[in-house]
Parts: sequence; structure tokens; C-alpha cells
Amino acid sequence: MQTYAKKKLEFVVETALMPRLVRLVEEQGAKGFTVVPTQAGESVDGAWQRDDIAPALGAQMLIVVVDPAVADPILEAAYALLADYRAQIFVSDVEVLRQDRF
Amino acid sequence: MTLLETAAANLLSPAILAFALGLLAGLARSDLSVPEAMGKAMAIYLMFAIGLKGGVAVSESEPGLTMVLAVLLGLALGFGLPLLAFQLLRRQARLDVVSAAAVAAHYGSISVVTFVTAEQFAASQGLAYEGYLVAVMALMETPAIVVGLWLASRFGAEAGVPAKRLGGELLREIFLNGSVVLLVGAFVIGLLVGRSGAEPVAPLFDGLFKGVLCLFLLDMGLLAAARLRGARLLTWRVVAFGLYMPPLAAAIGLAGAAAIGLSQGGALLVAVLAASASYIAVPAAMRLALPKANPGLYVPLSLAVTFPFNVAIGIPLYATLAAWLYGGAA
Repeated sequence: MQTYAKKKLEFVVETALMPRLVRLVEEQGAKGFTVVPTQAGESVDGAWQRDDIAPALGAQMLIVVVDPAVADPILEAAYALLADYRAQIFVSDVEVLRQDRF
Repeated sequence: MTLLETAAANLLSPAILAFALGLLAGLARSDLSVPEAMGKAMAIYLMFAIGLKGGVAVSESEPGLTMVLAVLLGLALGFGLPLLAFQLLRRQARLDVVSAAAVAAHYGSISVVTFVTAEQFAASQGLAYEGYLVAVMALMETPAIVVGLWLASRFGAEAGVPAKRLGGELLREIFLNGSVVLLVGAFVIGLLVGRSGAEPVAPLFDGLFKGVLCLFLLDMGLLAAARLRGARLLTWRVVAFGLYMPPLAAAIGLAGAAAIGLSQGGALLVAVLAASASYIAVPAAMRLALPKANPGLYVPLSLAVTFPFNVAIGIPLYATLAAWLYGGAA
């Protein structure tokens, strides 16, 4: 079956920042996105836990698949936005079946 | 009633015992947990119930000068306490400017659950209070956030992301955060519908209140234990601040409440508002506005040090102080 090369960007960021990050990827041309909750984790910046009544320690993950030409502007803008915050950013090559959706 | 008797009456209430159970279970690493959605639902319930109750109470009273003065007192505490906390955090706790500003914002703001617990304690002691204090509580949620951000930008060259870059998002976070909207909204509903209008929903919001508070405090105990276990940034100086700032703020609140002529029960609740520290609205705003301040410092301090202190020891202590100030029994 015919597949098409795309970039998958994954961001693990603080919950409070997620609305701004979602807006950013949409402004930069992403046609869709998925936000998933996280249970717990740890990075060089420290540990996080699931969001509870005190939301400041939680993190969420944003998954977005875009055309390679759109990936760079998103990453540059996201890098600037997240400079002062705890965040992890992953970039990977993926194949999709329905090109027009991404 | 002596301080000891008042403290014992508080400690042996089901709600405080439920908190202790959660705390001990958490510290012992039991697998006991309250589902996240249930915790949030109970928080919504408690805030709506207390807002509604305050609104209904105000609908039955005449607005007067004391009400206006209480609002002004709440605002003065909201703006003033962070300034005091900031100085203490810089000098005594030796925190850097940004961390001190972030923590100060928490101690200028309020904890609804501490207020609710104190309200139940006041009721158990037969102390009436002014219903509009619920509205004062909602007003006190946000000024400290503004003061905290001002302190960080005024005194810190490296104050993280300036508030102006966050624009409307931060303003919305500050002024329209869920707890403020819920408290004010439920208060207005109570004010509009009055006692008879609230009667049909009373079985839910009055009848179940104490039971839900018990379960919520059980969850808070578990959360406090989890925060305490992960609290590597809490030095003894910072912990000391988390323990002496509440009585200090409470004393200021009590003096102000007595000066404007609030009732003894009202003075107790103002003291509790002054003494309590936020762990919901302020942490979220601080993460957006002051990313260089570590939430591993201010969340455990507020949730795992000051909150347990206030609900277990602080409330009866402030009640005893109020009784002494008003020349009556606690």
C-alpha cells in the first residue's frame, strides 16, 4: 500500500502550558493533534506526577504528525516557548496512509 | 474551653481523623487512593456548597458598613501578606528572589478547604459568622498572585518569563480560575434564590456536606503524604516558615477583623483565610508566570506543611485567640 513520509512530534510539557502549545502548533500549520495525560515521570529537571488537585506538578503529552516542511517552524517556535519550562521534545519519522489529513 | 480542649475537639472530629488516616496511609505507602476525577468532583461540590451557603446567608441580611470593611480587609490581607511573607522568605528562609516571590504569592492567597474545615469547626463550637465572608474568600484568591509577580519583576533580574509576554492567558488564569468562578457563581446563585429557593437542593449541599468533607480530607491526607515524600527542597528554614507564617498571618487577620467589628466566628474565619496558603490556583499561575521557581518547593510547603498544620492545630489555636480577643469562650 502507498504510504507517505511525515514527521511525528511529541512534547511532554507541564499541564499549565498545554493550551499555549496546542495553539502554537495549530498556528504553525498542524491540521490535528492529540493530548494524552501522563501518570508519572522523571527527567533531569525533576519528577512529575499525575495531575491532582494541585495541578502544578503534572505533565501532559502532545502528539502531532505533520508534513516535514511544517515540522521545523513548529519546533523552532516550540523551542522558544518552552525555553524556561520543563519539557521533553521528540521527533521521529513516520509513515501515514492518508496524506491529506496531515 | 482551654486551647487543649478546643484542639482535642477539633482533632477528634471525623473530618480531621479522615485526614490523619489519609496521611498515615500515604506515609506507610498503602495502595489506598481516591480516583483523580472523584477528588476534583468533591472539590467542586465543596466550593459550590460553601458559595451557595454564603449567598443564602447574605440574602437574609442587610448590607452594612461592616460588609464593605470586610471586603477591604480581605483585599488588604491579600495584597499585604505576600509583602510580609516575601521579606521573611528572603531573610529567614534565605530563598532566592523568584522562589520567595512564588512562595509569598501562595501565602497571600487562600485555601478553600481550610476555610470549609474551619467553618465546620465554628459550627461545632456554636459560632455564627457573616455569610459574605465566602465572597471575601473569593476576592482573596487572586491579589497575591499579582503581588507575587510584581515582587519577582521588581526585585529579581532573572524573574523568568515576564507576565506581559503571557498576556491574556495569565490574566484569565488569575481572574477566571475555576475556583473563583465557582465560589462567586454559587454565591450569586445563593444570593438570588435565597433560603426558600435553595431548599430543594439542600439535601445534597447541606445534608451530605460533612460526609463529603471527610472523604475529601482523606484524599488531601494522601496527597499531603505524597508531596511530603517527594519534598527534597524543603529545608528546615523553609518548613519553619510554613509553620510560623500561618499563626502570624492569623493574628493580623484577627486584629483586623476585631477592629472592623466582625463577629467572633467571622474573626476566626478571617484569621483562617489569612493563615491558609493556596495549592490550587496559585501553583498553576506561578508555573506559567515564574517558571524558574520550582513547584517542588511551593506545592509541598503549602499542601504538606501549612495545610495539615492549619487543619489540625491552627484552627483551634486561632479559635482560642479569637475567644481571648472577644473575651468569650472558644
